[in-house]
Amino acid sequence: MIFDQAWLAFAVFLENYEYVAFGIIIIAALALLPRKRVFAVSAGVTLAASWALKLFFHQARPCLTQAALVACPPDFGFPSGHAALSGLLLIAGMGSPWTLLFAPLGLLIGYSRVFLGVHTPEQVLAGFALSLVIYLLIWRVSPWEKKGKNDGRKK
Amino acid sequence: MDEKNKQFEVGRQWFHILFGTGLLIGSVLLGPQNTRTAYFVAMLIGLAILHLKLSGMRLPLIDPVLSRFERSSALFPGQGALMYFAGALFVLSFTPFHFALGAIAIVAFGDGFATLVGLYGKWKLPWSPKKTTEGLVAFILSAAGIAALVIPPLHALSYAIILGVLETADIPADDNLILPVAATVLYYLAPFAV
Repeated sequence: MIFDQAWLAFAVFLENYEYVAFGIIIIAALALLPRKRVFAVSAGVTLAASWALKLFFHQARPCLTQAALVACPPDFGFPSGHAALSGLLLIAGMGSPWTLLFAPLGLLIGYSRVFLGVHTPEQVLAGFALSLVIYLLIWRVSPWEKKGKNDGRKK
Repeated sequence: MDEKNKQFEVGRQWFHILFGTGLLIGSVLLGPQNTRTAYFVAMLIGLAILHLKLSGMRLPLIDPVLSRFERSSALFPGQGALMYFAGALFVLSFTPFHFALGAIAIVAFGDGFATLVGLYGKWKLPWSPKKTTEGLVAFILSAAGIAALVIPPLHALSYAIILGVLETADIPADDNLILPVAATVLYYLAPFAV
């Protein structure tokens, strides 16, 4: 019962105070996770790409036709912007102990969008896919990361 | 490239082709939704393995596979596999299922056969001396052939040609990621070309 209430409060907080929530998460991620510049650039590109793709695909949210636990957001649903940003948390912490906090958080944020009824699972998965591709591309081509055998792996 | 490295690449590409074939057959059997879920789960597993390797852990079952099939120039362990699943998940999420299968087939077969044939090719491409004309032709023919099983043959050939030329470009990113993303972009640009 308490867990259900806490989970609902968490999901609703992410929806109603998304800028505050993601601001805190991004600042924490920048402070704690490795490859900070890759993360920062990826976050910016992901935000822009998610916004542009929502306008391109014009796909409605499920809450327009079905009941949801919160008020239906006015923008389009594909891909999920929350999932796109939280997808970065799945990969950005690789090699750091902090990934044990951020990666599950990323998954929970994605799931919360389906739980609230504001996204379909496909829209959330697309968000995850978008950010994973963006992060991997930027990581691969970034001039800030060492390449090859000396790639920052723990010695 | 010396003979030892050539043999390494031959083994690597056959694994790439056979692995891709297995994934395609599995995808057809699972259907669209289950395939996306399966690829996402595979990504999560791959990320977990990556985390453990970057943390310095030894994984007795995984390390021999990585040392056999991963290039020494890889940015991180398992780069090829992770990029492959990420690219496949992307095209599965953003395009219709049958098209995504075609794109995944192009990556698996085209890229694989391009390398296998290109290793022994003689005619260097003018815009990319590291690649050969024979490799490019092998990419186009193999990719178009397999993709034509799931998308119209003329479309398959068109995508194979464009992606084959893209594959020869010296882009500092993994083909397993670039080609599916490019295929996705091409899918939405194609109506404007008609």
